[in-house]
Amino acid sequence: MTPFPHRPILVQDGTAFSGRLDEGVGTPSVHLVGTLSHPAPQTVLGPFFEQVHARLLENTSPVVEVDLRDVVYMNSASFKSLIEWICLIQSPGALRRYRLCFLVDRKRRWQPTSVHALRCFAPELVEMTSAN
Amino acid sequence: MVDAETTFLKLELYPTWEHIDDVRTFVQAFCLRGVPQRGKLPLTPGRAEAVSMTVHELLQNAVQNSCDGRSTVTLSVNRVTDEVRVVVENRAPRANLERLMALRRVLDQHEDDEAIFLELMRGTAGKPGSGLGLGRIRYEGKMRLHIELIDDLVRVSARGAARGD
Repeated sequence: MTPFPHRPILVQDGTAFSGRLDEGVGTPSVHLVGTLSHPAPQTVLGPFFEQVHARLLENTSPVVEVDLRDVVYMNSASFKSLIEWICLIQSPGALRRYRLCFLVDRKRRWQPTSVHALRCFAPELVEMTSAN
Repeated sequence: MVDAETTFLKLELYPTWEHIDDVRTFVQAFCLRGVPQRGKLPLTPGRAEAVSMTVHELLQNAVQNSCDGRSTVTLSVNRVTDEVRVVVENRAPRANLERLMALRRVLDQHEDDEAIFLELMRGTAGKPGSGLGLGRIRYEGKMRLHIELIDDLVRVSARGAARGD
């Protein structure tokens, strides 16, 4: 029996930024778009990544793709939300661990540099793929 | 003696949070556009991105900590050393200055920009505020930081190469 497909999980901050988790056939994918410069991203991105994490615990895929290529800019407070997502995966209470494979655009120089820092932070969980 | 450092941009503003990203976008475009007869702009694209990120992070700190809402941003290039300098100034209440001093002590303990950023990353989860901005300027922006406190005036200077990635 084919399992009933999940609805995507969405987040939106006005016109500045949006994000969604899609779980179709194959690897689950989180796609982020726009400028992440919210003054309190823990109220926007935090709940989104918590929902994504809860859903991915039900998924069997060992990896989730995190597409940053359409993110123009991310402030350090939003970057912290990615750190906290990783901490959720690392938490002893997590039912399973999955890896995050970040897709980055090397033309936006902050992307590979920031993801490199995440790889140093959690080498067992973070991978990076360059789009160009 | 002729001053080797030329100020290309000085902004005095009372920014809301929403203005900060407008300023970042403007500074990046400004850095990429040449100035006739002055010679040291444009910056390379990578450095323009680093400078605009630096302005964004410092201005966010200024807006969060300012006691009167006013901030100034100055952008200069030194034609002898070929370095770019960003200075952001604001006035802040005492409690915020003490937090900044504590962060400055952490930054001053480390020579290795990646090590300090990782230490800040390890300490940030679950705490209010990120405390990552200055570390990011050092690690990602490859800028050296100098923090001055003069009474209630906070002056943060970030200096780094004008060319390169």
